[in-house]
Amino acid sequence: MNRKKLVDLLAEKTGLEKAEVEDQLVLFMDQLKSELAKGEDFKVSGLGTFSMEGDDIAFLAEEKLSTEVNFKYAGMKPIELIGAYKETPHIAIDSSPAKEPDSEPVPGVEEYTEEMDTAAEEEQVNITEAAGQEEEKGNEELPERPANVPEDVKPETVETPQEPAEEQKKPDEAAKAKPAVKTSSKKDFRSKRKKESTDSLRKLLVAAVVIIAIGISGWMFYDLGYLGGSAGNESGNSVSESSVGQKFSTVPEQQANNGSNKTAADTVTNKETTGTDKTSEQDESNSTSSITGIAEASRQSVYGLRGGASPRVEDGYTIVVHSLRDENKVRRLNEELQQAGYRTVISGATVMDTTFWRLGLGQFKTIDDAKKASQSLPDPYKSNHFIKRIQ
Amino acid sequence: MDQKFLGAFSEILREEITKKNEVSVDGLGVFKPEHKKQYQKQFDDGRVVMMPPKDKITFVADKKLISDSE
Repeated sequence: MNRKKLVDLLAEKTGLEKAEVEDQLVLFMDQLKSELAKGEDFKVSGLGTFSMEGDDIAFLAEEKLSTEVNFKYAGMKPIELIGAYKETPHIAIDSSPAKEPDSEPVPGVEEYTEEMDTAAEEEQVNITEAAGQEEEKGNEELPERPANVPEDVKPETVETPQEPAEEQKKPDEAAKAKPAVKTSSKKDFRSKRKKESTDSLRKLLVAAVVIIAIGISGWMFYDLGYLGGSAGNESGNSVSESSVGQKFSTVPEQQANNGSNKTAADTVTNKETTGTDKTSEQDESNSTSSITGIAEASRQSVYGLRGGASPRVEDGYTIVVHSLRDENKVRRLNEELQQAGYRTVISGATVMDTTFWRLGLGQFKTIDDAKKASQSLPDPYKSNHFIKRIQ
Repeated sequence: MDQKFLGAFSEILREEITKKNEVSVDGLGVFKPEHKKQYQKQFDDGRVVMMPPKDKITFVADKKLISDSE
């Protein structure tokens, strides 16, 4: 952006004439010059401060503006690089940080110094971690310990009350005892660490065993039939499934006559004629087929275009002939169609936040059955309908 | 000086600088946002910190303005 564009924008923003804006700009620069000539700072609100720095004019942007410009780097703080030294070729060495423009106080640097200062102490603390609270107790019991005796005195050393006096008398001996104390504490720490890792491994193993046991028991219950669903016993399976009425073990003839209304007696007869010669098996087959036949008959009565609606069917299809927002109207139509002998299904469907009440005719096992049945519907239903799944 | 003008001047400059645009005003100088990459900084005691990158607003005053201000 140059001066001309700036003047245009200022004229647009302030509503002043361009000449006036130019005058104001000149006035601004004159005022800036005079203030700087006096050696004073010139602050422009929302922008920053101009000041003389030697023979040059310095500009310090306002904090708000700096933040706006640096929005991408918001929250980024200086990171301490532990382990980096002056040997690193890319390091910019600041011998006098206070003189550098970027040597403002760095957050976290003070903490770092403390850490550096206490690094040796921390090492010792790490070694004596195994001693835990007993160490503190030991320290309390040794108020007059010599300065050269390390803080990580082992509990067993502390246990004898005569030792502090001896240590006072013989600091050299105490110093000699120091490596032994450290070694033993290290050993304790290692053994504790080892024990912890073994414990965690043991816990993992127990958890794995429990999971495997649950898996096996689950498999035994469900697949081996401990809960009643035996996979190996076909006759039992057939009976149980038939009694539940969910799936039916029909003979091929029955499958072929799926749409026709068969009675239980017919099914039993068919089963008997196609059965085996063995008496025991025949008896079993008879009982099975009779149950199957009843279920089949019940299933046959569930599906169809005409008859009453059965709430037991949840996986069939219906031919929707009315889809209206007025529920009462749908109910009226439902009554009319029921009087006409149709099996009806009413369901609600929300489309674009609007509830539509759908009146379906018949219940069919497959969509093909529904399509076939829809051809037998009277006009206008024959040409104006859609098939949907009953849910 | 008109406060309205001063407010508009400040606002326009802020907008342009925030958009990383350079603003050059004859007789005044050039405002320019300048990107500074991240860099390592080491103190005398050996501490090393990685300074984050930042955009700095630099101002190069017009020579006439400097001479008039002295």
